[in-house]
Amino acid sequence: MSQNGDKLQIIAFCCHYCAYAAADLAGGMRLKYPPSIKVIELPCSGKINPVQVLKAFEQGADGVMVAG
Amino acid sequence: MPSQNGTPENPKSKTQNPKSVIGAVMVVGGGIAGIQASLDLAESGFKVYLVETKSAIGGHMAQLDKTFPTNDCAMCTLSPKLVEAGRHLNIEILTNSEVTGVDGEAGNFTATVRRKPRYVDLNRCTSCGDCSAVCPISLPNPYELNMAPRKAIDKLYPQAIPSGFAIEKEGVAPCRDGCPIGQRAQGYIALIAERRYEEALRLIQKDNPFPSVCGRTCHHPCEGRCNRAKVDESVGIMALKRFVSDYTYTYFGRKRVEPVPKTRNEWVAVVGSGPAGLTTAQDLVNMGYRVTVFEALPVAGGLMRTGIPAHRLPKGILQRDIDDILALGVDLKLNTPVEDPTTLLEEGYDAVFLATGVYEEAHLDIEGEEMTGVVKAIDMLREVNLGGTVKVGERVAVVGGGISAVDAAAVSLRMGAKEVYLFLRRPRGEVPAYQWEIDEIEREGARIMQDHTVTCVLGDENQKVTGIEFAEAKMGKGRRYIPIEGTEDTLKIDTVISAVGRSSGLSFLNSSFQSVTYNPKTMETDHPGIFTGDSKGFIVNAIALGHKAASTIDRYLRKEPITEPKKPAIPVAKWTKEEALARVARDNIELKPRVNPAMLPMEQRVSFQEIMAPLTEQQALDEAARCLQCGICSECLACVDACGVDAIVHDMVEQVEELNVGAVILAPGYQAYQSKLSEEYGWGRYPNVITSLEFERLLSASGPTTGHVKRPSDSHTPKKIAFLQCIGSRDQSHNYCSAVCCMYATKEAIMSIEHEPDTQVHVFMMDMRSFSKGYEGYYRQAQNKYGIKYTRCRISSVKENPENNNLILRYIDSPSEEAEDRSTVDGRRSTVIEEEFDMVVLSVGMEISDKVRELGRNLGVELDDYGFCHTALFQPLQTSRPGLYAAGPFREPKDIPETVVDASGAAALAGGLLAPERGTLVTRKAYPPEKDISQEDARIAIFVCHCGSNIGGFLDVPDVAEYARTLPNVVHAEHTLYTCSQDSIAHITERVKELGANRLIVAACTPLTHGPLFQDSLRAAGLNPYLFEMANIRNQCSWVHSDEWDAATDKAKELVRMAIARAAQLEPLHTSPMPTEKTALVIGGGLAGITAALSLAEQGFPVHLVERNDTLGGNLRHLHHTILDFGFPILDLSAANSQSKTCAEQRAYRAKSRCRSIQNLKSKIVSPQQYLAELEEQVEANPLITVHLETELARTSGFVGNFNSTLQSGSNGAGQRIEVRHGATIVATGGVEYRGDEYGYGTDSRIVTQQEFETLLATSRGAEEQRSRGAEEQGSGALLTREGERGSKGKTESISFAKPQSPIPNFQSPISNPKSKTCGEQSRTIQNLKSVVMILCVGPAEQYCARICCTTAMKNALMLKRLNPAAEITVIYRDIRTYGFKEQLYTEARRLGVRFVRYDFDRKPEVHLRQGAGEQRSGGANSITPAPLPPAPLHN
Repeated sequence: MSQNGDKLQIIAFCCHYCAYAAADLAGGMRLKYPPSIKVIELPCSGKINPVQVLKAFEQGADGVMVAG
Repeated sequence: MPSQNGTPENPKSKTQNPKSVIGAVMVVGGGIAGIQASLDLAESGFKVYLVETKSAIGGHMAQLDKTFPTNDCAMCTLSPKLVEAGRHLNIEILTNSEVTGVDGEAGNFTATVRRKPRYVDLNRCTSCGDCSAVCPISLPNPYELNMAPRKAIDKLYPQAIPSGFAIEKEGVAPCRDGCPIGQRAQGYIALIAERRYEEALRLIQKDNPFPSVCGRTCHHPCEGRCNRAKVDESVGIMALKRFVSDYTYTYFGRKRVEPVPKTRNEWVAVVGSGPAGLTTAQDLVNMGYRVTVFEALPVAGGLMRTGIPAHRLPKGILQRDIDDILALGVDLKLNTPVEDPTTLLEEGYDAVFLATGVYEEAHLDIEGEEMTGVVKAIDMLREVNLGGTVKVGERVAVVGGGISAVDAAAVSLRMGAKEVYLFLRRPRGEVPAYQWEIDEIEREGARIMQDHTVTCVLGDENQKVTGIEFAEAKMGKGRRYIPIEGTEDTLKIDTVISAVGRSSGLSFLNSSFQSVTYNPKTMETDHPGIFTGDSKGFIVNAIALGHKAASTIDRYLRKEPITEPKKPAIPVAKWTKEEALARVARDNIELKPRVNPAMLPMEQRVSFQEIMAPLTEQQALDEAARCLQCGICSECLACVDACGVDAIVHDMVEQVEELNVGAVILAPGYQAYQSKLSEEYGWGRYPNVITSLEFERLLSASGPTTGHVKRPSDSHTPKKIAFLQCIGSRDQSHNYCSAVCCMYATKEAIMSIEHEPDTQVHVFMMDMRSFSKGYEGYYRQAQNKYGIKYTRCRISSVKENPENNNLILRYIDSPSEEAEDRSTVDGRRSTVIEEEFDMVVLSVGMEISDKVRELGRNLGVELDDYGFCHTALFQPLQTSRPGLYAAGPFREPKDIPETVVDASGAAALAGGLLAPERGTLVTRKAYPPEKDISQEDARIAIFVCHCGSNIGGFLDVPDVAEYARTLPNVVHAEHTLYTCSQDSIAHITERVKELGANRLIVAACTPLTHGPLFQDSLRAAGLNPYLFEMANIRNQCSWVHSDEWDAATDKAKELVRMAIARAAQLEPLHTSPMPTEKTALVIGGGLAGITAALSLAEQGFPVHLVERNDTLGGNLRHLHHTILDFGFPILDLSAANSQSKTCAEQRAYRAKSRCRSIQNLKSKIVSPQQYLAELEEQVEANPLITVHLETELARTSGFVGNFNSTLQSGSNGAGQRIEVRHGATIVATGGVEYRGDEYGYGTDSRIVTQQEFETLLATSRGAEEQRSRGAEEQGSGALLTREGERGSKGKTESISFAKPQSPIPNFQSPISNPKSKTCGEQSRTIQNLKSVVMILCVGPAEQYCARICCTTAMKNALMLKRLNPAAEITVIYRDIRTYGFKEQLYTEARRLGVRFVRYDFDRKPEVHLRQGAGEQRSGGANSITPAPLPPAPLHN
């Protein structure tokens, strides 16, 4: 795992209706966050399966966020 | 089909002639009400025109941060509706539009809509925002309540629908309007203010090839029109123009001008190289023509060269402008006089423009004019300007008041004249030369002989001038100046220079041209192909003439009609002095005189060195800042240059459109109370006093402070915030409650603590009105969980502590035993406290704007005194005009949930009216049949978008596309400037088809807004829309990583790789239509159930109406009088009409609206029971409604659109069971009055509920007339309790319900059961009541507000006062919740002397019954009533 916070791989699973829209708004407001954070859109945060969270870690994610 | 809304103009008659009903609805107002109504109607098969005055829909809700009582994000709730409305094929959104009139009848109206220009073509705009980034005009942003700036081209808010930009423009700025060539002065001044000098020069050059010349010598009519002159001095436009050209040429160098390719074969000859000739040459060369300019003199420039001395226009400066024109590829032939232009045509020129200028100096018309020593200014100046020498005598007289005369005087002085006299026939302020020019020549040494005219030139025998005779002048007939006899005098003079005006002429041409005539409009001469015109001698007019000649010649050569095409009339932003002052006030502009450039010191004015210095940069910036930006948009065209899809159209004009619709829904909304009117609260003076809407924006993450609440004065986070309630509500000028302020203040208070947990919030209110579902719990949570303090005290004024801008409030605290400084409130001791707060929020109420009142007047609907729409009690959505419905706060202040209910209700009424035409005007999009791709491997086409510079400016878009091409399954990757532009969408469809691609990826913005658009292009290519994936490389990449080019590019590649990996896995998804059962089941036969059933039937759907009892009507059966009985103007239309103040106005509305219906309604509906009878009749007569009485719902199964339910009739399952199929269910099971044992209910006949009391009042009222005035019986008192409504038995409710009780449980009270007494007895009972106490919030109402009890109490109190004015009434309450217009009842009750006593749950009232005689006492644990009620013996 990297020591540098900016290099931490964060996967954010976001609900299409709220958190994903919030991530869009963050862009609209030109807020900044590290490029290593990636948003994956879900139809609903209830769609997330724990296996997917674990899989993200398995594949090298340093952190997983589920937002909805 | 009977009419639900009871209007005579109902579809029943119209349906007989289907063509007379239009299946379209106009919805006025694009707030949440308008959007909801539009979606309902469009979904049910009607065409909708949604008319909004702003540039986007969304209304107030779009400004809100959160919604109560759930703290949901307002935008997250609204945005999907916005997008849906924006994309709905059957909703046409008309933005920037106003409805100015509606003609016709219900079912068939013609609505007139004034559509103001948006100046942006929405079909082209991709909403990339590049235009806004370059706009130099910053304005206060109304969406942010002016707490943040916006640009003149902008979106109303980021999520706005329609998503395109819009330009705010009042019209053409007067400076531009006054300029013959339409120089965009406001535009280049705005650019100067932003130090964008090169752009400013480019903008000037768009209309003017001589910026350096006009920056020095223009007669600048623009400055004469400048609105700023109305408040101090006009802006120095000419000096700014010179500054731009001088500065740009000095610091950025001259741009190399490239020759324009010759794309036309025609040759044009221009005779004369003055401003007109060279302008024509430039324009024609730019159009691709071949142009030769013929000039008789050895130099080009015409009068600019020969008429203006170098101390005003240095020759090099002029040559610079001329050289730039020649460099375009203009052929200039010097020393080539043309005597006969027709020979040019013979030589092969296709057209000739005679631009020979104004060379003919007028005569002095005085004796001696022909003598040696009398010269014409024009000749003299030409000689000097061409480098020759002119001999002037020592004493020179110049005759004339124009700039040539001044120039001649200045030249004379520089040529050695010792004395120069300038003869002006008029006062110096009235001559054509500007005052400062006369002042300067005077300072240089000339003597100004104003109001004098030269009458005769004196000479010697050799006809050489020796002097002049002159006299004072006065204005004679025809505004001509004539000498005053007897004032003659003489002067010794050597040279007389005449400069009394010039005219154009063709005298130097071949004699055949001496009398040639031309048409000033078309510029055509008698000779076809030869054109000429007159510029009146001003350079800028000559340039205008040149432009006109070029376009005329172009049309002539293209063989198009020679007359100029008519230009749209764009309004001019010309202001009155008051308007100018208002703008100065709005923008806080400091009044100050213009900044004038420095002048050459007098001692240096001996040569032809330029006398006027350019403005310094700082001077120019100061002067540019003086511009008032009259047109708002400056028309600098920066947006046009920035727009990659040519979406900006600056010459759009207002259009008036007529639309045929069947119904109109009015949802124009409210405006927040203008808090500056309440000066005592200091809004506008004290920076930290803000309104609740402003606070809402401060809380919003997308607001001006990105969601951090900061004090406007110092940007500190406020630690102590006070909310002042009822600002603009419940006061002398607003006899109504705005119904939302208590809750939004609570919400804002909670949110401010959520943001900053250590914030202390104190709300000052009169009553807490948390009357709707979940509101009471929200209020309690605010107190218990968040520690928000609520104090019942109306603050009278706010003071500011000048040291820290804190606000000081004085208030009376809740009663306290310990406090020392005490005053009396409610008979108890209270404390006056003075406290300082960091911020004060004014909870502003709702008002109707002047604009909306005007709308109401124009549409002929009746409004009340406050401008709210009149609706009748039982037809709350029906306006006074049939076919026009009202929804939302336009009819009464209300919150979002109730507004949405209104909107759907109004949509249902409109749908009922137009039911026969459902589906006749809707559009459906046709797609090609879907291709089967199940056997194909994934073939992915990917389009990577630059989004103008939004993506392309921050990461390497071509590189991303290149990378995508290398990934598996990708058959095509390309990058486009705007992937969502119309042509790109078509291109995607084409490419997908050509390549046989079966998956589409767009790497661009967000699927939330753009996904459906691209899915559409996929469907158009014959593919399933779910074979689509988007990579969000804008909102979630380029915009958030704008400082990291490489990292952003890498992330974009990764997002694209992820999208490709997913796309390869995609499979087609199919939605399949399900047949639905178009029948509804309505459970509950009360007023709600009946109304729903009738509305559904009206809309053409069969209904099963299920009622457990043996009659319809529910609680309505127990209602006997309504608030209409008390003649409140807002609710009672006839009473409103009798109000003297608005009487004439109301009559005018009515005349306009032909509102027979309301009179009709009024006459029909006088009492609830009559209304119920009418409804029952309508239900019975309606073949679509099946009524199931004494029936309950036993079981229901199925799903939306297809339910199966079992109805069980008879009691205890004894009757038959019926199966019904239905697509929708409406649960309207209602509630019953709570009748628990609190306060001794059930133990004494004098303790009754309000419903019981109402029945008693009604009986008494009915018997009033028959009442005998017999011997008085014993006096009686009654104690009434008013309880909460409870939901009746119903499986859908979450609370548990008791079996409905018999109307009055356990005991029969003679007072509450009128059947047991005769009418006369009942009447006497009421008449004899001496005192009545009403206790509010009984039973379940302690937990939640039952919404109607306060109003019912008011109503019954008023009725009692009417029947028995002597009765003493005391209302014991917690909060009086007469929200909306119900407040008027409360006001009236207070006026009539009803006493109000407050209690809290920890000190509830107690009722004591006296033994035997049954004395009862009411009083709280802390004795909240000041004195016990008088003893009241039992009646029986």
